Amino acid sequence: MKKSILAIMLIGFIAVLAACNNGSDGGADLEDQTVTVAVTEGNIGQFNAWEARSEQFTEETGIEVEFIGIPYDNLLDRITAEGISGDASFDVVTHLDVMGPSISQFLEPLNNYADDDFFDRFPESIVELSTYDDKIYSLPLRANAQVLFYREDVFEDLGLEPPTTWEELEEVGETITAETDKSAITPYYQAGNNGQNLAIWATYLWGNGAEILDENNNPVFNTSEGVEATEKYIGLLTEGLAPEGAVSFAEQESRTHFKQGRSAMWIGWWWVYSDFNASDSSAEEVQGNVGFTTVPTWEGGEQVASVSTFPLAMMESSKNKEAAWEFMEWLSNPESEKSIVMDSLNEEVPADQFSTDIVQLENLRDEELNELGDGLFNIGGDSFENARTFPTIPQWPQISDILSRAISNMATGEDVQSELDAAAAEVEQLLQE
Amino acid sequence: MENRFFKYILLAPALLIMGAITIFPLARSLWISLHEWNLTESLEIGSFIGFDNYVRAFSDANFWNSAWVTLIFTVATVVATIVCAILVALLLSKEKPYISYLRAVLIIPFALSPALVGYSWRFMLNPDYGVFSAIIGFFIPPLADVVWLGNAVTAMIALISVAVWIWLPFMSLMFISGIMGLPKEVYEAAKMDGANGFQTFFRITLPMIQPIVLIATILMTMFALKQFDPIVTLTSGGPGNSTEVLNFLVYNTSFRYFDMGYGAALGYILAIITVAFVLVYMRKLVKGDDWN
Amino acid sequence: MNTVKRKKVIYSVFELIGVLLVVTFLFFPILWILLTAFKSGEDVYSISVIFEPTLDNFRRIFSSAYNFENYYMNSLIVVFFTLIITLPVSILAAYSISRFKIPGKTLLMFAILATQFIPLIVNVIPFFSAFRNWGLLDTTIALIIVNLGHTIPYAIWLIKGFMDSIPKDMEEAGAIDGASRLRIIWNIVLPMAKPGIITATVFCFVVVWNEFMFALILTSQEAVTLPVALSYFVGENGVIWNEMAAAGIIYVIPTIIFMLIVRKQFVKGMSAGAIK
Repeated sequence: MKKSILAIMLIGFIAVLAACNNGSDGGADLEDQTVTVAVTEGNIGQFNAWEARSEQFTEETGIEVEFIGIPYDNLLDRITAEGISGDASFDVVTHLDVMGPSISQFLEPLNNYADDDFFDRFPESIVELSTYDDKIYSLPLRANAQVLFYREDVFEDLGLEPPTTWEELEEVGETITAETDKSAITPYYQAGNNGQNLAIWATYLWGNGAEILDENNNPVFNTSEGVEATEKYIGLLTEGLAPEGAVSFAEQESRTHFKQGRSAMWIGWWWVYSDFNASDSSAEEVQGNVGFTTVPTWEGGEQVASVSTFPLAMMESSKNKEAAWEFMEWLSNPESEKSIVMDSLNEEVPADQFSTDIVQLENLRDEELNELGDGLFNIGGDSFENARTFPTIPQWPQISDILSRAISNMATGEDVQSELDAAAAEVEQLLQE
Repeated sequence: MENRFFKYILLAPALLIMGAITIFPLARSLWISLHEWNLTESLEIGSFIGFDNYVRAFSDANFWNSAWVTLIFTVATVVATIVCAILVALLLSKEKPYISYLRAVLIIPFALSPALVGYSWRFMLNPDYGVFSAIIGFFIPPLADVVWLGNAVTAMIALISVAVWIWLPFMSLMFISGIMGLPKEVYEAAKMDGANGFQTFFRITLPMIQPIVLIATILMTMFALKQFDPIVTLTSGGPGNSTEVLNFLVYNTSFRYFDMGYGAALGYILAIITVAFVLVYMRKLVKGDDWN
Repeated sequence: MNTVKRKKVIYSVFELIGVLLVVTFLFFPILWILLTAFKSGEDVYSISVIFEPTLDNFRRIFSSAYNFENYYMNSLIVVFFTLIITLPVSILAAYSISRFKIPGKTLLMFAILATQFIPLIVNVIPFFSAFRNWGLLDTTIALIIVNLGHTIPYAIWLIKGFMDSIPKDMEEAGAIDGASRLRIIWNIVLPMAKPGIITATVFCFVVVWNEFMFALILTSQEAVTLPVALSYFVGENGVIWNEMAAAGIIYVIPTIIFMLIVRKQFVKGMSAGAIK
């Protein structure tokens, strides 16, 4: 009896030993590997900071990390070609959230590497944007919450308060256009560019109790609430609160319009805050005068915001998955996220590594960070909590383009109801196929 | 005997290289166009469906929109470019030193990266800080507030202008080479007969450079039908889809919506449209003497 | 006599106006892009021509973060080898088609052009898979191969068009002298076809120099060429136009140098053609 227990213990011991051995062997294997990370070009501070800090990771683990840059506008083309070949030349890749559902077949689900608790560090809404068919495909390490930016100096001069509802926004807008030579707000209606013009529209829509698709994936954005919301959104232009050029603006151009001091409000992604107040491309009157708050909602309506993410995923055909995951896990450490942003705000790193990108819950509410960042992260945290997200079905890129085109058409003067009906019919046909 | 094969020996290297490089991808995409293949569903090419993808285009409103846009864009661009290029060539086919330098730098708009050109024109047409908008507004005040890329008609005009701007230099260069290669005696004879400038142009210059005009037109038509980079960067097909040319639709269908079979079929439909254009011109070209 | 003189003056005034119009239309945008290359981030959004010029944009291009020399070298290699292969084979083929009776010639010319009817994008994936199998991804060789597929057909068409307009008599004279065909091509046909050959060369040069889609898909680090590198100036922040303009200016220099070099050849070729 004793002997057998001893034997079992011995076997157990050996097994543990073997496991340990395996573990360290595995480590030794990983040591010789190189993880290739594809990020987009365009001088994005967060990615530059990752690259700079990856040396530290290599020191810790012995895994080499190599970064390659892909042109921003052509990321999807490249991922597609690499994905089809079944033998990608990179292991880890960043992509726009809107592409996610349709490229998921090229990506490795991360549930095999981390349990669900791991993802609890992120706001639910942005994890949702990485989840297709109940599997999580990417880490939302770069995510944007929608906030309302406004010119504190202009609002103060006119004795205005930042609006909390769309009605208030129109009221203060009318005062601004009457009293100053500025436009009240600069939206962006231009079609394409990955459906940028959907973000504000969706905020209007959701806030009014309307939906884009119902549970059965039928288009329902052309209900009376949907039409009302859309009319209000287009109304910014027709009522003269927005500049006429907004019809042809992509998000970046409308941002420039605001940065040049030509308008008093702008709705968009929070990361541009630092750009507004510090960048040399902002007009002098704008620098230091931009405040922010949560996006307005409907009178008595629910507070909602759009979010977008630029998550980090692993290629399904990667040959270095273990090592790739090691690196992804290392990047997801809240400490490292905090230190990148702290170093940026304290100006301890070169300007090209400047990043205010925070996505982890504990950092969003971190006092130290919020103090340095004028409370931006708190507002962002609120927006993430109130956030609604776009559907993550494979047809979404195409639906997004249909809607994007419809919005552009309505901004050029087409009738709202009939454009939405036509778009709904087109979406319905697409989803039936 | 050697002479009989000589012409084929001259021809062989070019044909071999071209065949080796182009036939496989062309055949492969033709094959894809005959299959159902949605990349979001499968990494492997799907089942054979014959010409269904081609038939599908006829009931696709987006296809018809793009076909029209492409047609308008192509016809306007080709006509404007060729006519302007002939005029420019007449002006610049003189043997004056400053014109010779002008001819050398003439090529710059054509040589600039098409993406840079698109982005630059987009900047220059911006209603707030665009230099074109400002100049147009200064000379024609009623047009001061036009948002050039914010309306289907003006966006198309802008697009055509950019295409003409890109291709005019090269097409002019072709005609300059053609005109300067013409024998001088003919012109002297015409002068003796007292022909004026217009008569000389229509009776002598134009007929003599006609083969080059036709070749230039064929090539220009092909380039216009396939124009891509400047369109994506200037209008991205907008506003709405009023400038979404067929080539852009092909790109979106294949690389954004992952409908590879339908995308390839649309590509072949664009090729068929090209064939139609080219056949018309080539019949004219072949009719001319010498060509065969 | 006086009226003739006046007519001449009026004519040259119109001619001058015409030249000026052409120059304005073609070069004003270029001038503006050139100015932009010297603008700071702030001045980009102003249409004033008075601004403090800066070399920062160029500094950024030549900084170590942007691997400009490498991109330039790749582009030069691709253009050089593509042209060095394209030109001889296209000239020979064009000569053969222009001068000899070949059954189905019209069909052949059509087929040569037909290889270019399909939008490039449709062929990207097949090429990618093929080069992946041969291990040629991210090499300049892959780009040279792909580019040859575009340049040769156009070059044949362009050169044949110009060769057709060269009279055959001189070649026949050469043939009587007993010179071999290749010698005749080299000594007689080439000099006379120079304007056409140069036009075709310029065309191929620019097409290869600007080729974007294949360079994008087929390269990732080592073999990245200038058009792809130029698109690095587009990002989340939109187009960094001043830096892109600076890169674009440097990037177009080889073409201008090339044109200035062949400028005289152009005229020489033409006058040779005119001797007849």
